[in-house]
Formats: sequence, C-alpha cells, structure tokens
Amino acid sequence: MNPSPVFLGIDVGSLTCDAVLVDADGRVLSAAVVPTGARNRVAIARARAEVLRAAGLPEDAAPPTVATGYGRRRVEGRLGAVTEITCHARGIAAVMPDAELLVDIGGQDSKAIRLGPGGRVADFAMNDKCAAGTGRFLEAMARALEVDLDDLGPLALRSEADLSISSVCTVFAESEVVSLLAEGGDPADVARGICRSVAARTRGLVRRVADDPASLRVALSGGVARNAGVVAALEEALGTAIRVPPAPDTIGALGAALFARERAG
Amino acid sequence: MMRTWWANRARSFERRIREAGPGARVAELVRAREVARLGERLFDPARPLAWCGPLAPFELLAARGIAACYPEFTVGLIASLDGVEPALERAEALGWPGESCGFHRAVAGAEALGMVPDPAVVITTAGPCVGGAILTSDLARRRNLPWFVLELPDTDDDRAHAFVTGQLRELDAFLTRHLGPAEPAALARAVARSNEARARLAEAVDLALARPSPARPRQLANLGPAVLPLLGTEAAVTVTRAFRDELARDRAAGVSGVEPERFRLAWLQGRIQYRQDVEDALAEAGATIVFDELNDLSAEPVDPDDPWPGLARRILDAHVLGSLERRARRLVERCRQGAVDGALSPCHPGCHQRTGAHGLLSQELARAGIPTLHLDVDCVDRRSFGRAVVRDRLDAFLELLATGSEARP
Repeated sequence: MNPSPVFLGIDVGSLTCDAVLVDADGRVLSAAVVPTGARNRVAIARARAEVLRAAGLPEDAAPPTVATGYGRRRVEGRLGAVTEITCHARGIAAVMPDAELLVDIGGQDSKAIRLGPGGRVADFAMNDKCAAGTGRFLEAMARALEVDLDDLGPLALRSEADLSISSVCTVFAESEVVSLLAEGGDPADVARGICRSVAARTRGLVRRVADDPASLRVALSGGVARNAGVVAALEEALGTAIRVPPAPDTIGALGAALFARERAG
Repeated sequence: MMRTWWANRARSFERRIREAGPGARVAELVRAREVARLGERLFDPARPLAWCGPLAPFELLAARGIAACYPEFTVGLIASLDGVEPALERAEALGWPGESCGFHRAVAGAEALGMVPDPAVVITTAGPCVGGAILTSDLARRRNLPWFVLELPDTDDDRAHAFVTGQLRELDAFLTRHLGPAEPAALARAVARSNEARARLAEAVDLALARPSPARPRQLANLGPAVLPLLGTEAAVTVTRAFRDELARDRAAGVSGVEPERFRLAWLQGRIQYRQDVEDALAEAGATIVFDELNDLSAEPVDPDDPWPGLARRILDAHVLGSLERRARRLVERCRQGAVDGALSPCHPGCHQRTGAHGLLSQELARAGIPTLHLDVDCVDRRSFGRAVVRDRLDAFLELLATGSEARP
C-alpha cells in the first residue's frame, strides 16, 4: 500500500526555522520550531527531521517541499521558493478564512498584509531596515529588564501606566529601559511601555495598507503573537480585537506546505 | 586630473562603440560617451561652467558654449562609479544629517573635498525641491558667485507663464553680463537641437511602452536626467536618436527586452545610481521597466526664433512641478498606455520631493488597478541599501502581481 502523500513547508527565518507537514487535505500533521542559529542548513535539517519523526515518517522521506523566509533559497530539493508575505497570507487564510488583515511580527521584521480573496495578497508593507518593534527588539528589552522573554507580556499586563519607550532604535531603547529602571521605574510600567512602543510602530505599518484598521478583522502571527502584552497594546492601538491563531509562529511554514500541496498536485 | 580621467573614459566608450560595429546595441555606450565628454568639459579649468538647478533652461548655456550641470547629475556620475562615500562622510562630518537626501548631502561633501568642478555662475531653480535650491544658493553665497534665482510657481496658468517668460529674459541678460552674449542664430540652433532631442526621447519612451517592450530593465535608466544638461547641444540629439533607433529596430524585429515578458513595470522618480541587482532580479523574473517617469520630458516644440514663451511652458510642464494631481494624472495615463502591471517607487525619507508625493501617486495608481512597491532606499547612498531586504520586497511584489494576473479574467 502506498503511504498517503504529505507536503512540507519550511520557513527559514532569522530567529527560528519552522516546519509544517500537511496531508493531502491540507490538515496539519506535525509542526516544529527550532532556533536558526548561525548555520541555517543545520536548522533546516533539524526542523525537517522533527516534523517527519512526529508524523511517524522515516527520516529519509522526501515530501514535496516549498521554502519561505529569508533563507528560502538555502533549502535543497525544494519544489519552489515563495516569499514569506505570500506564504503568511496563504497560511492565515487556511486557519482564519475571514481575516482581512494580517500583522506578522517575526524575529527581525514585521509585516502588514492586506488580504484578498482566498489568501491572496492585496497589498503589503514591511518595516524599513530596522529591527525596532520586532522579536529582536523584545529580546533586547527583556534582557535589559532582566526577565525571561516569555514573562515580558504578563508583566506588561500588570501595569496601566502610559509610559512610552522610543522605538526608533533597539540599542537606544535598551539604554532608555536601563536608565528608567535606574531611576526607580516600575518594571511592569516599563514592560507595558515596551509593548506600547511595538504597537505604535506596528500601527504605522498597518496604516500603510489600511486606512481604517478598526473596521477590519485583524489576525496576528509570528512569535511575538505569543506575547499577551503586545497583543493588548496592539488592540488598543488599532482599536479592534486582534485574533491570534493557535500556532502563530508556524503560519508562514503552513502557507508554504499548502503551496507545496498545490504545486505537487 | 579629473579632466583627463573623463577624457580617457570618453575614448574608451568610443573605442567600444567602434568595436561593436554597425547595427550593434550601443545606445547605452553612446550615452556614456557623451556624459563622459561632458565630464571632460566640466573639469576643464579653461572653460567657464554653470551650476544650475535641474529645471534650468540649458539651451541658453548651450547657445553660449557653456558647459552646465546640476547637482543631482554630478553626484549621479560619482555614485555610478561607487565613489560617493567619502563625499557623504565629509558632509556628515560637516553636520549634514545622515537621513537627509543623499544627492544633496553628497554634493555638499564633494564640494568640500574639491571633487566637483568650480562654477563661474550659479542658477538656482526654486524646484523641484527645496534641498537642491538651498544647496545651490548656499554655494553661490559662500563663494560670492554671480547668482540667479529662477522662481518657479506651482501653478500652470497664463500668469505663471508670463512670470517665468519674463524671468528667462532676465536670465539671458544675466548670462550676457557674466558669460557673454548668445548670438540669436546660436540660440535658435540650440533650441532647434533641444526640440529634436526631446522629440527623439519622446519616441524612445513611446517605443518602450509597446507590447512586448523592446526595453531591457536597465536600458532607459536615468536617460532623461542624463540628457538634461546636454539639451541644446548636438550630443543630446546623438544620444536620444541612438536610443530611439535601437528601440525602433528591436521593436520592428519583435525583440522583447526580457524573454518571456511576464511583468511590465513603471519606475517612479530616479533610478538607483550605484551598482545593485534590482534590475537583474527583475530580468530573472521576466519583468522589465517599460516606463520611467523621469524620461517623460515635455516634447512640445519651442519656436527657435522666439524661444522665451515656449521655454517657460516647458519648464512649467515638468512633472515635478505643478500639482500632484496633474502629475498623478499623467502617470496613470502613461501606465495605462503601457499596460503597466505595477510600479516601483524608491522613496527616501530625506527626499522632500518624493516623501510628499508618494502617498498620492500610489493611491491614484491603486485606483487604476496598478499596485506600487515602495522601496526605502537612498538612490546614491549605498550604505543604506539592504540587499536582502530590498530583494525580499521585490520578490513579494512580483508574487503579488503574479497572483493578481491569475485572478484577472
């Protein structure tokens, strides 16, 4: 008996390398998120091996693969390479078909994608040249606050202060955080200020593709979507509820897997 | 030294043109040769030189045999050779913000380093942007040079025409005082040459709009801006005719600038001046630039025997002057003519001229069903060029165009 066909999507990002395996109906069989590190080929191999193992497939299985992310051209044996903009749009349409706008905040870039029918990209904007307002920014801020990255969001939710942190430059923002703490600032207030700073920067990006985001159904993906503080700040900034899919950091890889399924079919 | 260097470059291009033989595609070499010859003239200490704004009537200078340049052109020359960094660093050391327009920052630095030729007169044009006007004004004041300011109203009516026509006569008198008179016959010849060059350029622009476009992605890059300081000379005619002829031959032979032609793009404002791979990436994806906004110079002929009203009309007709609505209307019209799929818009936050215009132009293009990709680059400061970042946006934009074309009936 021939095994059922499976399709692989790999998203090689700056911070993590994500893989998603789907079946012939587009259902997710397994997913993996591994740190990209300095050698993305190692991370690609690890992510691929993890999803295959989790799905009970042999390690040498070679499912049709579409790659995305900055390192998409480093994935060998791929059917194709598709940008993360197109893959995120396709991925979110699969899990939230009624979403009209997707905000993706990844390791070092953030994107606002206006969605058309069937997960087509109607318009998009990306952050310009600078990692302020992205996952790297939050990592640096968590380090300055001396908290785990995962604790930054819950900490921010404990405050209602209107503190603002500069989001022009990650390094300068880090210095600002250190000096606020040195002046006796409440870490919760500073954490909220950091989340508001990310939200303010993201709002600027969103405005480039949507005049009135408050009237749209907005989804948030990327690792930063796990940060409840940023989600709350973004809801406040955009004036609308933000919906986070169950596995926000693998939306791009899911989109890539669905493209692999279409292309192989 | 610079004069010799440009002279050698001109000779090198001339040799390559000869070696290519008749019928070869040499238009880009012809342009490079004429620009190098202008470089040679600009750095000739025995010849007076006029520093102008880009909207100056170069025909008045050509009629006097005076070499002329404008700041953005000069820096473009240096940037295209990847030599602009010392000038940028010098300007920043002098206090120019790193976020300001790279063209003007580089001119300021290059002038401080003695990299640009010394002018005998300065003609400031109060457009297309404040930065260029301030730069030339500052140069004239500091060096105590004869200086003329051509005020350019933002309207395009009879009063504006009369106002600019009067100023052009004053400018002619100013040039006569400082550089000598232009014989009427010489002025008529310069105007006639400018008419012809503009007509040939317009034909080249129209040919590039054909389907498939015979234009390769970089072929017509910055052609209009390169021709501007040559207007009124035979060199402008030679260059524009070379491009027109080459495109006409390729069009007649059914040659496509990229094979197969998948995407037809417009380029707003100037191209990136330093070496980068945007156009290579376009060619790989089957995309070509069928329309460059800066090549769309007015081709309305000017009466050689009474040039003043016609020259004024041409200046006011420049797309970078007047209302943004007029500019957007023309852009959309050209894009429709060329069945353009999408537009690329480099927009540096320090560019006074672009930052205000980008939103409206992209909105109007969107209404016409033409998406625009905003590229956050400085066209001369390569230090701010993120190759991977630009490539990623470009790839995503081409994917957007591909899915858009699938969706079309």
